[in-house]
Amino acid sequence: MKNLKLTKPLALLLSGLMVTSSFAFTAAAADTDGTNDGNTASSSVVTQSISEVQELMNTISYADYTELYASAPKGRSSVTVNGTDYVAEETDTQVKQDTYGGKNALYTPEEGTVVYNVDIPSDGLYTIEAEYYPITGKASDIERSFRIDGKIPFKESKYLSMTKLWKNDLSKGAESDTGFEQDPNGNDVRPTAYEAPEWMTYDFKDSTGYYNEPFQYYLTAGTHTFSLEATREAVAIGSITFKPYEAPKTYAELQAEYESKGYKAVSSDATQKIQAEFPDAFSSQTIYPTYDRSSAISEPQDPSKIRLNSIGKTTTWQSVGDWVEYSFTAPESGLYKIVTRFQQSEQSDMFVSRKLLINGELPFAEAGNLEFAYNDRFQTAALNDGDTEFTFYFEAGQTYTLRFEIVLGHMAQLISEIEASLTNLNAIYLKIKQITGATPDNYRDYNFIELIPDELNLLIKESDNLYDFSRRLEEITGERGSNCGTLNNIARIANLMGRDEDEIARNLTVFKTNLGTLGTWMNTARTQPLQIDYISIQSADAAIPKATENAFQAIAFEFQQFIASFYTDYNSLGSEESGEQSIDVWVTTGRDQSQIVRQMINDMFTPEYGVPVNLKLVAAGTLLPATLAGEGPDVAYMGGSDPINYAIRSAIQKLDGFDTFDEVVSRFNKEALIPFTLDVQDNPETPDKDESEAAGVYAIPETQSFSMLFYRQDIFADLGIEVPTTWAELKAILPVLQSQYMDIAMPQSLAGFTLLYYQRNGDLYADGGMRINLDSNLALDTFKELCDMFTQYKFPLTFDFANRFRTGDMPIGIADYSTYTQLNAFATEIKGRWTMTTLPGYEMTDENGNTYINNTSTTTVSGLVMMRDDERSEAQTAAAWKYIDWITSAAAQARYGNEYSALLGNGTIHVTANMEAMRDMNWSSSELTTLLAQFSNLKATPEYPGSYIVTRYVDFAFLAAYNNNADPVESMLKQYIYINKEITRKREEFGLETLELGQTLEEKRAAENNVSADD
Amino acid sequence: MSQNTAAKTEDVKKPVARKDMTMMQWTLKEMKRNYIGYLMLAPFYIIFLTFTVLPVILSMVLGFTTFNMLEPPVFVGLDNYIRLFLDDDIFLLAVKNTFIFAAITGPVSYLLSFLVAWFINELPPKIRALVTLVFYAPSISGQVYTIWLTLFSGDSYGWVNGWLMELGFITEPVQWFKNAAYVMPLCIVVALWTSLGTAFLSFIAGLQTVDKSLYEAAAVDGIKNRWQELWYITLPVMKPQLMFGAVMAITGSFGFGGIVTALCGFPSVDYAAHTIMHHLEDYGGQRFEVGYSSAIATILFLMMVGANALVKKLLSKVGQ
Repeated sequence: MKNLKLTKPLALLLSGLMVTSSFAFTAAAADTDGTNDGNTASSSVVTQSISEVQELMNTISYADYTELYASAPKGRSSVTVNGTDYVAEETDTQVKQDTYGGKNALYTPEEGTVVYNVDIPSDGLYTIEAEYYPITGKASDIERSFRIDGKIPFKESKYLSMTKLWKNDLSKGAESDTGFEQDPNGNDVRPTAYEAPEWMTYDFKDSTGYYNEPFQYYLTAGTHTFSLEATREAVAIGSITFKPYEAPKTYAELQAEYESKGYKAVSSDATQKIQAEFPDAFSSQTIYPTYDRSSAISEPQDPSKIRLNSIGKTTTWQSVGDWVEYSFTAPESGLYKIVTRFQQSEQSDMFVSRKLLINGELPFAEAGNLEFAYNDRFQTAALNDGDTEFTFYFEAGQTYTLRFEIVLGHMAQLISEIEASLTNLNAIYLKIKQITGATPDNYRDYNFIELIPDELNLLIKESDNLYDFSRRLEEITGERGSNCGTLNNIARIANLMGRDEDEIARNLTVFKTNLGTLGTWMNTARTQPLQIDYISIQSADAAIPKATENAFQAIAFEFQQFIASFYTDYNSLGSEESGEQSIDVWVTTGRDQSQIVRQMINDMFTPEYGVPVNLKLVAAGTLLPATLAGEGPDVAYMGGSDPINYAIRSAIQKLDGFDTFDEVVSRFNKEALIPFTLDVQDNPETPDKDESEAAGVYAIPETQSFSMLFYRQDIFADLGIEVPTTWAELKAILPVLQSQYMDIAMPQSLAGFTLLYYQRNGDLYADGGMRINLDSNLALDTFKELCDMFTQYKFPLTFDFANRFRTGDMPIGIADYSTYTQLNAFATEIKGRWTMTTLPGYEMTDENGNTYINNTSTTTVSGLVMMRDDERSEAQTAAAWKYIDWITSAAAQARYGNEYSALLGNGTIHVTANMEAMRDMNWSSSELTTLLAQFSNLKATPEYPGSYIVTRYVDFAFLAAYNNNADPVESMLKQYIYINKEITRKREEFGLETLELGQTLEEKRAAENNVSADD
Repeated sequence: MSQNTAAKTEDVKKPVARKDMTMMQWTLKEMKRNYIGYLMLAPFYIIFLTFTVLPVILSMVLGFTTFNMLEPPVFVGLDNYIRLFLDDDIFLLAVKNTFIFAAITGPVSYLLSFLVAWFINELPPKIRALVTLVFYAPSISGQVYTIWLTLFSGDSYGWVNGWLMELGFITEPVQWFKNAAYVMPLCIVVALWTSLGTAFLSFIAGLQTVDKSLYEAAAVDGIKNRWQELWYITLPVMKPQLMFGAVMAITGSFGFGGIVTALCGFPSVDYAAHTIMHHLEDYGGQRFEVGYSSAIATILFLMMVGANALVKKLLSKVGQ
C-alpha cells in the first residue's frame, strides 16, 4: 500500500481532468451498468454430491446425443409400462397405489427415486410419454430426473418438468358485469388461482425449450430399467409409453387434404370471440388476468376503474413450457383463421413464439412455431409462422380446446448453440484468467501459445460460430438489431485474441464484459413475454379486426381519464367502509405486494373475523410525522431498529400481554423476537419510577433473512477441493483458490464481525445494553481474525457477488439466502453446477467435552407493530392484534409468499419469518432441508438505546485496519469508547441506569456496596 | 404622538394628516388604500409564511427544547447550544469540514462559473448553446454524480483501480470512498464538477444583458483593455446576477451533504467528510433528537446569513 502516496495526487489529477472535460462523463456513464458494487447476497439449498456434479459434467448434451445416434433406426412399435408396475426393491421412496381421477396410479412423493423395467421390442429411437396426475401441493412445476439403466443418457434428461393444471376461481365474480369480483371502488379484483388436477400427458422434452421436438432416446432391444428421481413436487404416474417418433403433418399436406375434401371458408357471422383473460386452464400460478390501460379499445376498458382485460401483461407469461388453454364451440363447419389481438413490446427487434395445440394435438408441424412480432402497440394478426397465415378446419357443434404453449420456436436451435458457445468462451476466459489474474499485464509475455494452444484454436472457432449466429439471427428476425451487434462484437474480440496472443491480456476485461452482456441477452432471449387481449376465431375470408384505436378514440379516452383523475382516489387499495371495529393498516412495500395483502384480507381475514381493514400504501417516511400528528394507523410494518426506537418513546404498544401471544411467537425462530424486545431494567437511582414496566416484545416478525454459503460445485470438483464446513477448512483451501486468482465473498465490518463472534458464542452487548462488549478478549480476537481475512488473506472488500459467481471469479461466498432464487432464475448458464449450503463455522467444545461445529448465521428481521393510541376502543385493539396474528400465520404467509413470487417473477422470494410457511413455499425438498438446517441455527443482534452508533464505529475500526494497516485491536479499543459514550448519553436521555466509562455493572454494584458498607 | 391625539382627531372628524397619525395607523390606512396590491400578494405571502418563515421560527424555538418526534418537547434553555459547542467534538469537526468545503467549493465554483460563462459568452450563439449544455449537464442530470462511484469503485474491476493496477502504481484495489485520506478531496472535486449550476446559467444570462453601447461609450472614455471593461462595465451591470450566483454558491457549499452521503455512505469514514448538514441529519434522523438538530440548523442558518452579508459587502466593491 506504499504506492498510495503516489496515487492520491494522481487521482486528483484525474478528477481535475474530469472537471474540465465534462464530455468524458457521457462515455463513462454508458458503462456504469457494467460494474455494480452491490454486495448482493445469495444462498442455495441443494445438496448434490461432488460425484453427482461430475456425472452431470461428464454427460453429453442432447445435441451431441442426437449426433451420436443420427443413423440409428426408429423404434418399431410402442410399449406401455403401467405406473403401478414399479420395481419395489430398487425404489427408495414411499410410493403408494391409489385411485386418482378414476384411474389407478402410483403416487410418487417429492423426493426419492421410483424404478421400472421395460421390454424394448427392437433397437431404435423412442420418444417417451407419461400419463400423469399432478398432486395438489406447492406452486411449482413437477420436476423429475430420468435415468436409463442407472445413467443419465444426456444432460437435459436430468431436468424434466411437467406442468400442473390451474384454474381461476371466478365464483365471486358471478354477479359482477365484468365476470370478476369487484372491490368497493368498482375495480376488478384478480381471481384466486387454484390447482384443478386432471389426467395429463407429458412428452419427455427439453425444459429449457432448446429442442422443439420431444427427446428421442436410443434403446437396444431387451429389458431395461429406467428411473424417475423426484426433485420437486409429488405426482401420480398412470403409465409410461415408449413409442417411435412420428413427425406431424406439414401445413402444405394438410392444405392439400382440405382442398381435396372441398372445405370452404365459413360465413362471416360465424365469428367466435374469446376474451383472453378468461382461460379455461393454465399451467402456472404466475399467469393471471392483467389490466392494460394503454389502449382505449382493449376489451373491456374503463378510464378510471381497473378492468382485467388481458392475460400475460409485461412478463407474467413468458417462461418456456407454460401454457394457457381456451375452448370454444364451432358454429359452422369450414375453414377458420384464428386472430389474436396482442401486444409484444418487450422483446425488441425479435418475435416471441407459441405452440398451438388443438385438443392436445399439434394440428400441423408449423403450428409449433407461431410467431408474434415486436411492436410497441397492440397488433392483430392471424396465427402465422412469420411467412404463412394459417387456416384451420373446425366441425360445426364440436368443442375445441386451444392451448398456447410457450416455445422458443425458430429461435430454439440458435439460442441453444449460442449458449454452448457461451459456455466454451466462459471456460476459456477462466483458463486465461488463471494465468493472468484479474488485471493482466499488457506488456508481459505470458506465452499463451505454449500454455493453452487448444483454447486459442477454440477461440477462433467460436468466433466464426458467433459471426454465423449473428447472420442467422438477422435472417430469422429479419432485422439487424443491437443483438447482432453484441454477437459481432464478441466474435471480433475472440478472433483478435485467438489470432494474436499479445492481444489476449489487452482485451481480457472487454472480453469479460461482453461475455456478461451476451449472458444477459441469452436470458432475455429465452423469455417469451406476450400479452393477449382476445382471440377471435373467424372466417378465413373475413377482415382482421382493427388493432389500435383511432386518434379520436384515443383523445376521448385520455380526456375521460383526465376527468376521472379528479374524483378517483388511486391510493386507497379498495378500502372498505369503516365500522366500529375497522382498523387501519399501513404498508410501505410496493403497490403489487400491497394488492396481494388487500386481496388476502378480502378473501381470508374479513370474512373470518368480521373486521374491515383499511389498507393504505404509504411512503416509508410517512409514519413518523403521522404518528406525531396523531393520524397514525393501528398497525404498521417496521424493520431494523425502528420498533425499539418507537417503543422506548412510547409510540407503539407492548404485545406480550395479548392472550394468544405465546401461540403466535411459537411460529418463529426465537431469535426473531430479539430485535423486537425492549430490554430495560429499573434504575436504582430513581426508585420512584418503574422503568422496567416498558420491557417486553413490541413487534411480531414477518420477514427474516439470513446468510448461506454458495459455491460452484463444478469449480470445486475441478480443483479437487471440498466445500469447507469450518473456517479452518476455508483457510486451507484458500491457497488453491487464490493460485487460480479466485476470490471469496465474505461479509465485512459489523456484519462479518457478528457472524464470527456469534459463532464463538460472543455477545455484542453486556450488562443489559449498558455497555458494548467489544473490549473483551474474545471480541478483540474475533475482530482481529476478521480484519486478517481482508488484510492478510486479501479478501476483496467491494465486489458484485452474483456476477463474479457466474463467471467463476468468486466460486464461493456468503450471501443472503434470497440470492438463491435470483441465481436460479437468472444465472441459467451455470444451472446444476452450483449450490448453497450451511455456513462454515468454528469447532467448539460443549460442556460435556464433545466437539461440534457452531455455524450460526446472523439474521435480520422486520415485522408488524401496533401503534399506541389511548383512544382506541378495546374492540379495535383486539382486531388489530387479530390482524397481526393472522398475517403472520403459516397459512397467510405461505399464500403471500407464493403470490409474491407469482406476481414479481421467479427471481424473487418472500423471506418469511414463519418457519411453517417456508415449508409450503416454492422450495424443493432438498433445498428446504438445507435452508431449515440454517434457519434453526440463527442469532440476532438485540437493539438497545444508542445501538445505531455501533455500526459506524465498528466500520471505522475495520476500515482503519484495512486502509491504514492499523492494528485491529488498537483501532477497536480506540473506537469502542465512543460507542459506550453514546450508549450512556442515550440511556441518560431515557432515565435508565448508566455505567462510568470502563466500568462493568459488577464493579459498579461492588463499589456501591462498599459505599453503603462504609456508611 | 400618542393614542389620545389620534382618538381626538377622529372624534372631530377633521381631515387627517400624516403627522397626526401613529405609524400603525398610517400603515393601516395605506394598506386599506392599496388593498388590491395586498390581495394580490396574499397567495404568495400565505404560502411563504406558512412553509418557509414559520418552520424557520419553529426550528429556532425547538432548538431550546429536547424533542424526540414522538413525545412532546421539553424546554431546556440553552443546553443544546452549550452541548453543541462544549461537548460535541464531532460538531466541531463538522464545522471545520463545512468551512473547508465552503471555502474551497464556494469561491472556486463561483469563479469557475463566472470564468466559464465569460468564455462561453464569446462563442457564436449556436456553439454557445451547445457548450452551455455540456457544462450545465452534470448539475441538471440529478444522480449522475454516481458515475464517480463507478470510476472510483473499490472493486478491483473499478475504472481507476483497474487503470492504476494496470500501470503498476498499486497492487490491490484502493477503497476510494472508504478511505479517510481520499474522501474529502474526492468530494470536493465532485462538488466542483456539479457546481456549474444555476449560478452559471444566470451569469450567462447576465453577460448577455449588458448593453453593447456601454462598451463603445467606455472605449471612448478611455477603457484600455478587456480586464478594465470587465471590471468597470460588465461586472457592475450584472451585479444582480452576481448576487444571485453568490447566494446560490453559499447555500450550495454550506448545505453540501447529499452527494457525500451518496458517494461515501453515512457517516463517511472517520467523519472525514462529515458536514454540519450530516450532523443535523444524524441527530434529526437517526437519533430522534430533533431539538438538538434544530439547534444545529439554527447555527447553520446563522452561518449562511453571515456569509451572505460578507458577500454583499464584497460585491459592493465591484467596479470601484
